[in-house]
Amino acid sequence: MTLPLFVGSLVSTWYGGLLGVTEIAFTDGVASWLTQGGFWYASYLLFAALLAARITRSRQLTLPDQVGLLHGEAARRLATWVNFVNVLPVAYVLALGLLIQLVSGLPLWLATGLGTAVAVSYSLAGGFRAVVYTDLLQFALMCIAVAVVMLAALLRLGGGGFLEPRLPATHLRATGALGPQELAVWALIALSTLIDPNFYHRCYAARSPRVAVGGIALAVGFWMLFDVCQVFGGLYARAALPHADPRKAYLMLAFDVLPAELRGLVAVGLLATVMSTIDSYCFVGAMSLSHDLFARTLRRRAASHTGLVRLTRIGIIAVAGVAMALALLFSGSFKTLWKTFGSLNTSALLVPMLFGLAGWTPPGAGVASMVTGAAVTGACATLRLLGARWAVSLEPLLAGIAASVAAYLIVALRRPRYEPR
Amino acid sequence: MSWDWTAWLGAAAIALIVATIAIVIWVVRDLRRR
Repeated sequence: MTLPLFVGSLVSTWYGGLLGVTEIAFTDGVASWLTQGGFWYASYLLFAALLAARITRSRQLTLPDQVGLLHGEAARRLATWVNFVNVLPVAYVLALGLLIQLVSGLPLWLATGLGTAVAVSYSLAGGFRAVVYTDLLQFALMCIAVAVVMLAALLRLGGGGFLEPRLPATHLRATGALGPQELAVWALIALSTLIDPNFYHRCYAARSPRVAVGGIALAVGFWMLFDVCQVFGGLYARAALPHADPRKAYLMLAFDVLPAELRGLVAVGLLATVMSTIDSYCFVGAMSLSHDLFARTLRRRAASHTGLVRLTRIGIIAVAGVAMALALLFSGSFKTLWKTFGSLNTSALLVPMLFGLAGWTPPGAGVASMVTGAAVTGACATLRLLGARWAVSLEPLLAGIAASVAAYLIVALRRPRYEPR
Repeated sequence: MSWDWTAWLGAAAIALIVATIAIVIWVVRDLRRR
């Protein structure tokens, strides 16, 4: 992939969460620029500085491969499953369904099904190449759509004079009403960039390490502009439609402030945003089924290339199906969904990955830290849900990360000697 | 507290549109060259 394609494809894949970010801006205010923006820019740049060139050179196709290289076969298998759960595009499938429902009035299940079917069909027909090319078109539509909504809101509603009296005071504070624990959790979730399969896949496909590093830096510039429009779009929605469903408020604002001729363009832009993310996640999820699970774990090395391609296609349908089922079962907010999935994934993979990349890979430590991290996060999240008093005030991810570090250190230090890999 | 950010928000939105068009042109030229 050349630099322009790399930037276009990376930017549009990463930002499928439009309705999620505007939901969080609606409820948390400007602080969402920090939790969904600032923390992420820092970790993208960290990724570019530490990892991008390394991945491009390492020729490890997927994230589990990289984990396996550092911590061995058992860790690779575990990472395959964590990765698979993480790339299920549940929030995005839900966003797509809500969007189509709002535009067409169809019932949610039908809207979700139709939208997902379209996103899946062109991935099936064209493979990774189609995903990259459609990403570019979607990227342009998406950026122009959010910019147009921002401009329309400014012109129709006014600037600070409109927002300030209509927003809760904390909405304009940099950290809003968020406590230090919640901020720390979002900072850690942002660090999950370091273990994001889409970033891995794009860096692997980059033509050279230079393309990967420069591309990420350029993409961060785009994201900053895009985030301003998203976050303030969410704030305008809060000010103009304070009683709307936070998940849909941004869309309703867009339709309110835009002239009829532009509504179509924006609807297509928003659809594009969500679809470009769904197709990429389905593809990465299917790759994890066909490449990591089938070819590697089940040791079907004899599987031919055509066979693997067919498996990837079946995988895309399977991933989309599971994501759709979960999206329809799920009735909470994007924020909850992201935080839960993000916390589980980060607590399992972040610690072993960071130690591993630092070059310290004692045998067994990676697996121990993955299992402990995910188990403690899962347990705390469950207890929190059940209403245990101490658990309510503790963010599950913080407990999970602490446990993951502890497990890594205990296993590493319990073995007096080990052979460096 | 009254600061008018209208200008900044508008500038960001216009910059986003310009940057998007620039990158699309860049990609199309890149693809044609190959």
